[in-house]
Amino acid sequence: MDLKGQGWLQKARELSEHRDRRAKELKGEGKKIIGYFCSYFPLEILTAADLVPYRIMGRLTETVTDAHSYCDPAVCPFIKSCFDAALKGAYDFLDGWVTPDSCDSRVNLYRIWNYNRPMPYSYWLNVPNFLDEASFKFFKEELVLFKESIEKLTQMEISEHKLRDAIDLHNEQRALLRELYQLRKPEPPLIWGSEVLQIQIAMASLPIEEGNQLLKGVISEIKERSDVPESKKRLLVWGPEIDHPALFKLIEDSGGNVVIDDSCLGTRYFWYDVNKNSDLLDGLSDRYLNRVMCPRTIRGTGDGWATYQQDLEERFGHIRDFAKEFSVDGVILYVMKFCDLHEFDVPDLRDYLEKEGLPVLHIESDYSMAAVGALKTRVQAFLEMIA
Amino acid sequence: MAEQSKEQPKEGMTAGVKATEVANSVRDLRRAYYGRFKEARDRGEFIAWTMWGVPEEIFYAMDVLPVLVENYGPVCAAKQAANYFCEIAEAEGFSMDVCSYIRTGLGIAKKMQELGEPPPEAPYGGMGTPHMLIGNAQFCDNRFKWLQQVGRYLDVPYFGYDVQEWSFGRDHNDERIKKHFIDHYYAQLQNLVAFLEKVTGKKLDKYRLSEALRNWMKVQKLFYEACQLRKHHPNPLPAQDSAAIAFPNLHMKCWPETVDFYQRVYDELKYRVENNLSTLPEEKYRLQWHLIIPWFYIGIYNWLEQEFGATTISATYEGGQVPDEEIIDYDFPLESIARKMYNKLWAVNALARHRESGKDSQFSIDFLLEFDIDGVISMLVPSCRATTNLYQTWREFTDALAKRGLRIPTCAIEADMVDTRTYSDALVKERITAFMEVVDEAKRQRQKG
Repeated sequence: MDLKGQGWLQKARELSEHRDRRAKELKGEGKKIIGYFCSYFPLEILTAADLVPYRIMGRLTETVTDAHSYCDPAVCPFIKSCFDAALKGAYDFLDGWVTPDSCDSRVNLYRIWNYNRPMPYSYWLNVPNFLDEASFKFFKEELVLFKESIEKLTQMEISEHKLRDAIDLHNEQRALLRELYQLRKPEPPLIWGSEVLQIQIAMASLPIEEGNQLLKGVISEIKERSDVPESKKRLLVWGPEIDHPALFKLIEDSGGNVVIDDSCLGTRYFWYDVNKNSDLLDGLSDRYLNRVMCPRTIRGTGDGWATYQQDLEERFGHIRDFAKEFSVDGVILYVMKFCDLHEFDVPDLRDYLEKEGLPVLHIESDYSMAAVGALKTRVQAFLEMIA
Repeated sequence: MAEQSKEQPKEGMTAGVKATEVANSVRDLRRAYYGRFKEARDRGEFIAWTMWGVPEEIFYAMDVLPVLVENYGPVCAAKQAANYFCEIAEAEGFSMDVCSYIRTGLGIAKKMQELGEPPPEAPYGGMGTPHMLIGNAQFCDNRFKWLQQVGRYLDVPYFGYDVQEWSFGRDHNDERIKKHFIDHYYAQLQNLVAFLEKVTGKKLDKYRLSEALRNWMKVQKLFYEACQLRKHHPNPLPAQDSAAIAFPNLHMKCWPETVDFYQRVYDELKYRVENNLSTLPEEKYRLQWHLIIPWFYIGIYNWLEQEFGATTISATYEGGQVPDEEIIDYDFPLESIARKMYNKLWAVNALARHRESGKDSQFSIDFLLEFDIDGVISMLVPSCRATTNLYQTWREFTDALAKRGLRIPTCAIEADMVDTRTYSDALVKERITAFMEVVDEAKRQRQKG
C-alpha cells in the first residue's frame, strides 16, 4: 500500500470512499478476492488460504433502481442496496462471495444473488441461533466443511500453521481496533465517530496485513494530532450495518459525537479475540458463535433454561458496560426498516437502558440519504434534551 | 388506540362458508381444545406456549399442552380480534413491520400481565397461562426471537430449540451431511426433553413417545392421502375448508382423536370424489393460493367461487409428505423423530424447505400440473420476512415454466395475514378480477394446444 505522502487518516478516508480500488489492484496482481457479509463470517479461514476478504456493503448515497424488480418491497433495504450494486456490476471483480445464516433477508438474498448474478464461488455457512454444547459442535463442523470448501477452491491445504498465523493477524487487528477505541475515552475524544467508521470501512476492504498497517499509522497519527474534536455530547449507537459515515456526521453536526457502538461493523466485529489456547477450530467456533453480540443469537439458554431477567443481562449487559466505560450521555437505537431482529429488541433495550439512567432515542431508517437527512430534527431534539 | 373495541369485518368481507361436514366440525374441536387451557393448571397439567415445528410427540408423551402462539394469530384474525392485540403491541414499541402473528401474541401477553389472566377479547378464552415458553429456530427468525419478547410480560422459563435447515449447496443425500444435521437435531431433542423434565418434574415415557410417533405417522399419511384427493375434478376440498381442517394437524397432531378426525376427513373426501360432489355447479377454473392466506377473510374463497366459478387449492397448511417408513423405529422414537426431521417435506409449508434455486420452482410446477392449476395467487405480506421472496419465486417459476413451454399466470396481492389495516378489499378484488381475465385467456390457449 503506497501512502504517497498522505496522512494516515486521509488515506483511510480515501480508501473508504473508493473501497474497490485496492481490491482491484490486488486482483490485477493475481490475488483472489472473496466478498463476505456480516460479522459472523470466520475471515481467518480466507486469510489462511491467501484469499482477500472484502466486506460487501450497500451504497447509501445511490438510489436503488434495478433491485426493486428482484426483491420484494419488504426486503431489508441494506440487502436491497447491496444487490442493486451487484446488479450494476460493482462486485464483478469478486471471485466469489460467502455469507453466514444471520437473518431471513440473507436467506432470501443468497437465492436471489446466485440465481440472477452467479459467481464462480459462493458459500452458505449455517450458524445456530441458540448457544449450547450441541450448537457448538454443529458450528465447528460447519467451519470444517467451509475450510474444506476453500481448500477445494484454492487447491491448497490450510495447514494448522497457516491458520494460526491468520488468527494472529486478525487478533492483532482486533487489538489495534480496541486501541483505536481507547482514543475515544478522553473528553473530548481524540477522534470523531465518523472518522472511526471511515477507518473501519477502509479496513474491511483491505487484506488483513494492510489493514493492520493502516491502523497502526492512524493510531500514531491521532495520538499526536492537534485538531482534536471539540467537546460534544457523548453517544453510544446501537444498530445493524452502519457502513456510511452520514449518520455519524449528522450527529456530529447536531452537537454529538459517537464514542462507542454496538453495531455490525463496530464492536460486534472485533471486540473479542480468538482464543488460541485450545484447538484452533474450537477457538474460532467460540469466537464466532458465542462472541458476536448480535440480536440474532439467543443467549442465556446454555443450560436449557433462561428467565427474562437473566436474558436481559446476557443480551444487554455489555451495552451498559460500554456506556459506563466510555462515559456516554445518551444512546441512539438505530434500526433499519424490516430488520426484525433489531426491531424486536427495541422495547426491551430501551427500558433496560432507561433503568440504568441513560436517555434513549429510537430512530428508524430505510438506508437512504433522504432518510438520514430526515432524522436530523429528531437527533437535534434529543441532544438538546440531554444537554 | 389500543383501547379500541373489537373491529368489525370490512364491508363485503364475509366469513368463509364451508362445504364439508368435517370442516364444520372443527369449530367444536377448536373450542374443546382451547377449553382445556382454562382448567389445565387445576388439573395439574402444564402449558407450553410454543411454535409449530417443536416435535408434538414429546409434548404428548410428557403431558404438556402445547399452544402455538403463531397459529393463535389466525384464530384471532378469523374472530376479527387480531388488530386489537397488534395495536397493544405497537403501543409497547414493537414495529408494525414485525410479524403480525407475533404482535398478536405480544398484545395478548401484555394484557395478561395487566389482568393476571387471559384477556376477555381473546377468542375461545385465550391460550391459557403458560408454565414455559419454547421456541425454535426453524422457518424464520421471529419463531425464536418471540421468546425474549413474550418473556417481557410472562416471566416463565424458556427454552430454545435449534434447527438448522438452510443447507444451500449441500448434497442432502451425502451421508456425512445427513449425519451432521441429524446428530444436531437429536442433541437438540435431548435438550428439549431435559428442559421439560426439569419444568414438569416428570420423566419422559418412551412408550408414550412411541405411541405419539405412531399417531403422528398415521395423521401424516391420512392427511396427505386426503389432500391428494383434491386432484379430482371437481375439487372435493376447497381452500375455505382446508384452512379449517388444518387445525388438528397443527395443534393436536399426536392425539388419538386426531387420527380419527383425519380418517373422517379422508372418508368424506373419498365419498365426495366418488359422487362428484362440489361447491360449484361447474368448476371453471382451479386456482392455487400460494403461501400465506388472509385469515381475517377466509370468505374470499367463496367469493372466488361465486364470482368466477373458481375453486381454490391451498397447500400451505396441509400436512406435507410422509417420511419414509424405513427410517422410523418405534423402539427408538427420539432417534426416529430426529431422522424424520431431515427426511421429507413434512413441514406444514412444504415449499419452505426448498429454498434453493430451481428446486422450489420445480416442486411448484409439479404441484400445479398434478393438481391441474390454471393460475396462482400469492400474498405480498409486509410483516412476514420468511415469505418475502415472492419476486424471485415468480422469476424462477416463470423461467422453469417457459423451459417446459407452459404458461400459468400468477398474481400478487398486498395483504397481511391477520392485520386488516393495510388490506383494501376493493383493490384486492379489482386486481383478482383483472387477473381472472388473464387466467381465462391462458386456459383457452392451453386448451387449443
